[in-house]
Amino acid sequence: MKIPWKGLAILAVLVAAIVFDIPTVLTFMPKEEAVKIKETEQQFERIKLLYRPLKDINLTVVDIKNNRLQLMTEDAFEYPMDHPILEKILENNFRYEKDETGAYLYLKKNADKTVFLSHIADKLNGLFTNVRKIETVSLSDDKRSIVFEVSEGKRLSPQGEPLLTFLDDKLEVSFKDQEHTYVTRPKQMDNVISLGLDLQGGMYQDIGVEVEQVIISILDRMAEELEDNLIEDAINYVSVERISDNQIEILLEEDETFALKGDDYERLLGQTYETLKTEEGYLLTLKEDEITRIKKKSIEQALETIRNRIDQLGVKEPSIQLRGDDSIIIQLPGLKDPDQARRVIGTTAVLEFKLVANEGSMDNPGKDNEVLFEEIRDPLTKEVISTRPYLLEKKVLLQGDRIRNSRVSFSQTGQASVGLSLDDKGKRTFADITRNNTGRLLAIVLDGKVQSAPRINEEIAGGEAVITGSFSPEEAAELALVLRSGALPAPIKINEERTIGPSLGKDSINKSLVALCIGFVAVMVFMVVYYQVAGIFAVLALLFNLSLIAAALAYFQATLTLPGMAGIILTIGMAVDANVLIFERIREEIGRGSPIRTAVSTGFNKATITILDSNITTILAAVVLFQFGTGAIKGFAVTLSIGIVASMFTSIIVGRALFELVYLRRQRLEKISI
Amino acid sequence: MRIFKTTPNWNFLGRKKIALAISTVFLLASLGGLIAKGLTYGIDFRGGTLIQIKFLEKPQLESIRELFQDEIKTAVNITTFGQAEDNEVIVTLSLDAIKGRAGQLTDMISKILEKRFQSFDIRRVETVGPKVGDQLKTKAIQAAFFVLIGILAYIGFRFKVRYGVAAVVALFHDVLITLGIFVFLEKEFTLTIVAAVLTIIGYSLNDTIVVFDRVRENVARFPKRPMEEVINISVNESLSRTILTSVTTFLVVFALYTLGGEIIHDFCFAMLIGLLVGTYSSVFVASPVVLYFDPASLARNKTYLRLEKAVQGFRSPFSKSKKKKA
Repeated sequence: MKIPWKGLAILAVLVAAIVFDIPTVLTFMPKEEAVKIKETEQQFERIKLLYRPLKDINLTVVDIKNNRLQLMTEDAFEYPMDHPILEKILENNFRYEKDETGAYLYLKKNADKTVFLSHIADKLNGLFTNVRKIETVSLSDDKRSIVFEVSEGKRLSPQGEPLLTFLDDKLEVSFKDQEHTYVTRPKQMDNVISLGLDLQGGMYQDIGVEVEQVIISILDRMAEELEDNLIEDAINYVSVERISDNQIEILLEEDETFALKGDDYERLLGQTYETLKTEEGYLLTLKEDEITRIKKKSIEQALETIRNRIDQLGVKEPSIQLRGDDSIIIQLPGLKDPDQARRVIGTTAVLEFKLVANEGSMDNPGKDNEVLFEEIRDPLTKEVISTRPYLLEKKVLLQGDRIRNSRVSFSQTGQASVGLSLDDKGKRTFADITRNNTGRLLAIVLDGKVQSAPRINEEIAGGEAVITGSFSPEEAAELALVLRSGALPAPIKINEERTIGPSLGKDSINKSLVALCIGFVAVMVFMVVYYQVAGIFAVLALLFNLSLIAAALAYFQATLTLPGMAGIILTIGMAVDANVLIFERIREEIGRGSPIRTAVSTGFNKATITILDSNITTILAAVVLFQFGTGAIKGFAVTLSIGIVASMFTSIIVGRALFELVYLRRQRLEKISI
Repeated sequence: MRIFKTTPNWNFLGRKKIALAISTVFLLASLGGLIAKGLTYGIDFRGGTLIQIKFLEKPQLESIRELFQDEIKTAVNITTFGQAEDNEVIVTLSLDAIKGRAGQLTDMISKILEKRFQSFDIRRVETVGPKVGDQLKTKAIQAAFFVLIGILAYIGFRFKVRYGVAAVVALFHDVLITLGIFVFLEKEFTLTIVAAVLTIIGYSLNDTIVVFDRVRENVARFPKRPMEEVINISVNESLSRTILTSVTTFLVVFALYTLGGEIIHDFCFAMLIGLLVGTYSSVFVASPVVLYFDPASLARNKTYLRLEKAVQGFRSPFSKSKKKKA
């Protein structure tokens, strides 16, 4: 059978144009206002539908005995059977049933073994609590964003739930407008090819979260609580201590017959610890899947907190992503003040209120006390010039998670400080603390360092507190920002950071563009001189190749980096190679005396095998590069792979189509310019 | 226009001994350099901070070095960067020097420089933690390993295992020599150079396969002729293509090398070396190795015969002559 090459080739060109170029052309053009508004309106309708039924559920109660969750609901509640958010949380592990006693979610028999009722209940309750905080969802006046109003004095959890679950990938939460309004913005989809940080300047950070610390502090807290319980139950114990990074040991007196049973302990330990009775007492091991869960949660929380903080920095198009299961990649294009970003991202911001101890001494703080320091800095150079020790009670009376808002305030002398407003629960706790300890000193501790320790003069019922210190207004603003966006679950460490100044980026792009053009022109001239008309075909194929790469980059929303440009340049080399292989073959066939038509066809066929073999091996290398490379190298691998695929297509199929169109249609073909 | 009026007929394989000598000298020198001196790792691999600063006037390296040493109290490494008229320097600090100062890094450097210089521009600050470097080394080695396995498998599947072995030998040759040149020129080995090395692998492979493809075709065309002659014909037939492609690619990379800016300078430098070595190796390394492992020539090879005698019962995995045993 004769293969209709001509038809196939033209078809292939068309398909390629449709698949690659049309989306590019579309994304090149600014999207019409009407389209954007329509999209936002559709999103708005969707969110309204999603959010209403959730508002009718007040609480989820765990009913372990019956292996079910009870939903406390409004009377007219209808369970939304195919609610995507609920489905995401419940997965396929639950079935809904309603009877006269109420509405229930039953854990299925064949449910995933790692699913715990209490975890799911926590998740659901978190979601419902947040949904209840939302008063209204409305479309903004210009119809380009959706506005979530949160009831007075409330704020959504730092995780951003449920807003993020509501929004699909067309919208993102852009900022907190006022104290209780969250506004969305359409995601930047209309960018043609975004330039990498090395080409436009900005900051790249790869940070890790020290999740091990989270686990250790959870274990320490558990040990303390167990000890409290033992004291309360008058058990004769020797010690309760964390003995490794996943184990707690309870040592009992020899004649003690205590058994680790009963509701109190079950509630405390849940299903997250393996308990082992030993000769001296008990050994509790945190389960492996719980560790994994905590780690995952911590890194996600860190991600959200950082996202919140960066949103308030006002960087234009930040990108904050998880990579693997333990690092976060932050890219801040066009960043002006890298130091500020480093501080805002890197501050753990654990704020604690502790009383200054009345008893004990610095040398011998005692069991319940600890010594922490205040750093005294030179107001100009900001260097630590001395430290002042404080003897504090270990007990944390109030923590930063109760902060509703924080802002810069100024004292009468003009000294900047950070004002805090506490939420309802925090307000009550703070009133209790100040009432019961009037006259004592209350230390405000940030990340283990004492900020100030003012005297409590009277009960403070309004839930307002002020952190004073030798802040500049900018520092106070930064501190207010990090406190407002919540604490990181654990300290972070910078694995890798690259900051490129905007002038360097500009230089790089100019220089490499010039180089690209010159290299390209040189190759084109060479091809045309060497192969004449066939050389023109090669140049056309090459141009088409470049446009395909550009289109593919835009289509996959890849970022063009400097190594990426190198990849493109290398691709030009490969594309030329493909053409050279084909043309040399055709020349050879003509030299052997084959008729033109046969020569062209044999030339293409034989060269195709060679091109495939050599290009596939190169792609192989590029794929490995992509798998193992980071940032810059990945960009190189991506453009190289795209480029090679495009070059195979353009040189073999487009090149052939051009031969067909120009030469092979002729009735009599005696000479060919190659 | 053509390079050769008729297909050339040069005896490439006849010069394989000279090629072997040249390659051995280069390989030994590179290996020696790598072992004795080792690569100068950039901060990507050893961790630390790199700061690129542009000055208005020609910077005095010694005075900048003193300035930093006085302020930071640890060793700093300072080199000029780019062309002399750019007035740029690179300051490299160890991880200890920046410990606990991450939030004030740019600020700190500005303050140090302000003490002696009026105007300067901090163009780039890069910090790599200690963990990342080790991870990168492992990843680079893993990447190289998987690339080689993949190539062996693909070529073994498309051609024959001995071609795959020959291609991998050629790759080792190219990569080792490129690294060796980096050792001798004391250029920094960074992540970008890893990318370049992997590209060289891709390129050299491309070249080798084009030749092998011809060999495969010609083995079918001239089944009676000895392998050496067939390979020679194949190398000659693909010679004009080899030259053309090398020249055009060289043109592009050279343009980037001279005009593309300092950041990709070393990348392009590695590529240029790789291009030269890769073109050489596909003709003078890969082809002789295929010939060496060819069953027919293997049977005539004195070393091989001696080996076979010495190891009783040893059978070449490449010989098809199982039947003869009986």
